[in-house]
Amino acid sequence: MNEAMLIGLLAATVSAATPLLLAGLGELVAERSGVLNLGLEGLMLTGAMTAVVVTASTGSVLGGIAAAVAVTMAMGAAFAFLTVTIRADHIVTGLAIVLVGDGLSQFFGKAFVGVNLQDRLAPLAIPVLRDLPVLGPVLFRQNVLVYFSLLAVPLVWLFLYRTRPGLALRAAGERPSAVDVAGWNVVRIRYLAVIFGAGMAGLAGAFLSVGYLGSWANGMTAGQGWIALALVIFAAWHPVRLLFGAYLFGFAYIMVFQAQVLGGVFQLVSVYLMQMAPYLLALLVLMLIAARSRGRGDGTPAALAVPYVREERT
Amino acid sequence: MRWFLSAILISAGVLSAAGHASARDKIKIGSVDFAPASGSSWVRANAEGFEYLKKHDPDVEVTRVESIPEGPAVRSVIRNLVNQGNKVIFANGYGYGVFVPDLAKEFPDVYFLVEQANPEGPDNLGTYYGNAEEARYLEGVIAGSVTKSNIVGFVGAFPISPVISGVNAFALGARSVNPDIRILVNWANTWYDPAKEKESAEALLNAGADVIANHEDSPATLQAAAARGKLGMTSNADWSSAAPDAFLTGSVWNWGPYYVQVIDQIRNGKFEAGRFMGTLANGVVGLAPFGPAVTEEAKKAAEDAKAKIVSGELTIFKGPMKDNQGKVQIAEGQSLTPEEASSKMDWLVEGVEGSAK
Repeated sequence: MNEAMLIGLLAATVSAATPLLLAGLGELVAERSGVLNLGLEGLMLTGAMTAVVVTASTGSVLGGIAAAVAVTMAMGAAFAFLTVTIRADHIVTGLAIVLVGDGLSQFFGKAFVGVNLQDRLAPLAIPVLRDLPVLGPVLFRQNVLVYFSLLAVPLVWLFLYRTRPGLALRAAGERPSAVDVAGWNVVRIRYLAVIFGAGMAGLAGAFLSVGYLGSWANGMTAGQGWIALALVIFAAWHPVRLLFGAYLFGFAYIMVFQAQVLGGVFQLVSVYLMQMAPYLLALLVLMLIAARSRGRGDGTPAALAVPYVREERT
Repeated sequence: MRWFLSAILISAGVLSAAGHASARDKIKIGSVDFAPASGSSWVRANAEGFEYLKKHDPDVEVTRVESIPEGPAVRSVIRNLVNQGNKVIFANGYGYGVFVPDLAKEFPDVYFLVEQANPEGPDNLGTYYGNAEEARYLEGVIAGSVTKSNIVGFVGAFPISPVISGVNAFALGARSVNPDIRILVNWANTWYDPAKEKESAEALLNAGADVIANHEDSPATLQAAAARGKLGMTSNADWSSAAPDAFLTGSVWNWGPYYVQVIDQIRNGKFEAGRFMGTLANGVVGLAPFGPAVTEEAKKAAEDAKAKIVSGELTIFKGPMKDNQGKVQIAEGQSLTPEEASSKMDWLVEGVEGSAK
């Protein structure tokens, strides 16, 4: 492997990890507040489609991204209404969001299948840093959503662990009655967390369509929403571990394609088997985490997917 | 949602069919596709074929339904089309092949044509495909002529015979003009997923390829090459609009004349069941107009090769031929027919780097 191939491999890893990191961070915040939103896949598809449709119609990429976030946040609000206010089952409601998002995105995106966007999110090279060897082309010649995803990790960490609202949000996912007693509004916290999470999933979809590919395809997220959900568990609900998980998975995903041109031992392995590697890796890590955390809990918020009913003892 | 759209399309066809009359009886044709024409170049080629048919034979009525999965559900879609009075059914997907023969027995008065199926069946069933390897060979000649890095890449959908035979034809064409060329193959594991197709192309570009050919349904590999200032080729339809400067050429299908011929046979009561094979010679297989990066020398080489294929002087898979492990696969004096190549080939020809597993 020469330097160009290494840089290509690492830069592609960053691109592959970014949607997982964006959607995963949003979901992490939602789950930390006690709401399990399985609908990421549907939200990402809706975001990806909305970004393409609005960008193609208005010529504004930022407008497309903003629309994607707005539409998915509205879907998040609907999800919060169903799960937090009228206390519908989180899992069933989440699956419904997946199906609704898939159907809506195919319906409204039909005219845009195969259309190549003239306007897409251009890379934004960061002065000085872009000239670093290897790291420059890999990390600092990406588009603004990549930088945002990387900045969001410390920001989410600071919010969750170093601010009072962050403390209240975490407590809402562990012991909502205590949060209530302390004078915080559990319902409001959960609404905001879910809406934030949905908007991040929409942003992840927009990254895929207008930030990376420049087009819309039916079902283009191809399971990435589910991977992001698994990564939250993998990360034990911690943003820094999520960053690690997203990049590890992104690397394994990209290796399926890159390994085929490396020759040697890789030419002996069927590509059908190779494409299982990222999923096997995810399973392996989950097994290791389960083995290590035996008896200490795995970090699951205690009140995850448990509806909060005021004045009811839990 | 797809069902809803199909229902609308079908009813639109019925409504527009009402109240027409002409001297010759109109022949009503139903066509079933697995994807929208905007998203699949194979489907687009078929749709363009019907436009050609309508222009050359005004006494036809075509109802096209799209996005019908290649599964058992297609049976009810086709039954609906037949019940609406369609007398000819084109099932434009390989995956429909297992369902159509039974339907042909169920409706003996209706003519069925299906892509690349087993030709055994009742007299009202025909099957069609084309010898795409001929166009792939010409693509290889052009790639081998214009490459500067002497490395060309090919993104294939899956390591299965109809794709492998195309990769091999491409490689043989490239090596015929440039014996030292390296041909790298990368399987995207999808017919249509622009993200995966792009990843495969990126891997090949990182490895030094400066021309990327594909057997995929989207122009994603061409766009990936164009974004890096490299060149690309596409499959099944003319995708030059996706990246006009980087576009070299691409295999295309011209189904129109075939459709005209089939409808003509049916109208005159001379329908021939069996297999139709499109070729460079009969014009069904061809290349898209060359892009600006194709040199005069490359054009000349491609035209020479085309003349030899059309005249029968050049057989693409002719022994002695070794695979990329050095094993003789076609013995001296033997050759493979297009049917054999596209249904049995499970090895990559000498000079191709990659795995056919």
